[in-house]
Amino acid sequence: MIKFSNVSVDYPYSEGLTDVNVEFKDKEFTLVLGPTGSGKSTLLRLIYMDIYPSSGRVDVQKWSSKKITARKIKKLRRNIGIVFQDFRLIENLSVFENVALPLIINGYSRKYIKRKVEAILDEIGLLDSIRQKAGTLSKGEEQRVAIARAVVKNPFVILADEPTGNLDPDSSITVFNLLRKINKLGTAVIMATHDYLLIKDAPNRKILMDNGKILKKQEIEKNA
Amino acid sequence: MRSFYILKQAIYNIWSARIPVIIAIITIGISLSVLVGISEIAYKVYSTVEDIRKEFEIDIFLKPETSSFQREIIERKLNNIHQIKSYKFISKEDAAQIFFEEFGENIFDILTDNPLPSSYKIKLYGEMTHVEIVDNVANRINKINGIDEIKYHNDLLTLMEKYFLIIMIIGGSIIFVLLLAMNIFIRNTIKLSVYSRRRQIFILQLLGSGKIFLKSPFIIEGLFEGLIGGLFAATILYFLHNIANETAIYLFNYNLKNVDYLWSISIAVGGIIGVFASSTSVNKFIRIFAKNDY
Repeated sequence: MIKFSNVSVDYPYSEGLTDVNVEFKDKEFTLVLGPTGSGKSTLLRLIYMDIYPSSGRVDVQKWSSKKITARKIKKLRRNIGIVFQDFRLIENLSVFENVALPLIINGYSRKYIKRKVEAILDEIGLLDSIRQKAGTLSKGEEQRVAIARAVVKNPFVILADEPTGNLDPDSSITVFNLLRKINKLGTAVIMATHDYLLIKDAPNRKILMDNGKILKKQEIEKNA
Repeated sequence: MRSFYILKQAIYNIWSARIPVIIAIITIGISLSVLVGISEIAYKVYSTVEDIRKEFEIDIFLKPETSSFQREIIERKLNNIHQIKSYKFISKEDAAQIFFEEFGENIFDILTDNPLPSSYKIKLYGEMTHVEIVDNVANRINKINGIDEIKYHNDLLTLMEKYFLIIMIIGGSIIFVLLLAMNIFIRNTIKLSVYSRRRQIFILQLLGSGKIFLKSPFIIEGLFEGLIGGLFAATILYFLHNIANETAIYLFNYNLKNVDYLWSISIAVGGIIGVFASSTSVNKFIRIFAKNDY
């Protein structure tokens, strides 16, 4: 479970977060909606402890932003899958190596890594591109590889920050459906997006953000 | 799998920054060959000085009337001076024999009487053979009854100590500057490598990578530069030694000693400098270049 308690983040030159209280349950698919600069990415960065609250606290499973150390942040991140708008693949590595990276970091055996990575690439339909350099893939394929990299370590949650932001509509649907499929298998997903068209019919929990705040239900209805 | 990945990344780093790496290797090679060459010269000077110190002797000449009882007292007093390693009594007859051996003439063929005095040849412990200590020992010996004269080459010792100090200061300074230069060149290539891979490092940090995993490819890169630089230095030293040997044979008909160990020293020193420079700098550069969101 992830819990934000009275969390504020002050940025010197832009809007941060103001007094955010929210919970994300295990195995839940949550869509965080809002315009650019509304605080969606800040919310996600707080979960993988890339930044800390100026006040309040964030609890992620057994880790708390109040007490976490650099060493524990590494452990936390090994249990979280992160997907970015710009994919953040390592271009000079192959698809296999990119997906295998979290397992290599965790020190798994070559045999296990091979089996696991091949299974996931097969699942997302990229097994044929396994030896291809990541930099040679299409954007949709790159994002699928990024999702495979996030999923390969069996995280308890996947944080997807605008995962469809750089994709064409078809690829966006593929990626969104892939994330929903992963969620159905038991992994929580928190997806930040401003692509309202893509998610408008999705039956998942939606959180609307604006100016660093989470809007209350009536405000959501007013904004809709 | 981790080792394989780390090694692959190290090779990729080296290949990506091959021009700065080659420049670093050449610099390390030249610097190391000068450094090892100077160290060898300094060591040779040091050994020579130590040999001279070991052979250094104080001659004390006894008064002609010194009795064997007085000699016993002298020897007892010499035993009490802890700087003295050994002494040897040279009787008048021994002195005449030495005279014969050195000058090829019997003293009795020139003079009717043997004018050569009895004496002691005194050796000090090597570490005690310094101008001030030798003077001090000589003063103490001079106070013993029955001693006529003391002779030792303190001027040689003074000269030797003065030049030895100068050589050590100059050699040490050059070695320090060269070590600094090699350190700077290795750090520079590591800086370039970290900078060019800053995005990758940032991604690895997001994936929960530990410090060892992040740093190892760069440390291997430093080790590689140091070892190849050392090998290059060994090659330079090999050719320089051959030239010096041929010159020595031609000019003095003297064969220089084999210095095979210098080559392994230069490779080992190169490797140590490579690991030291890269491991001490990589943390800093990762902190500077890979802390931002790319």
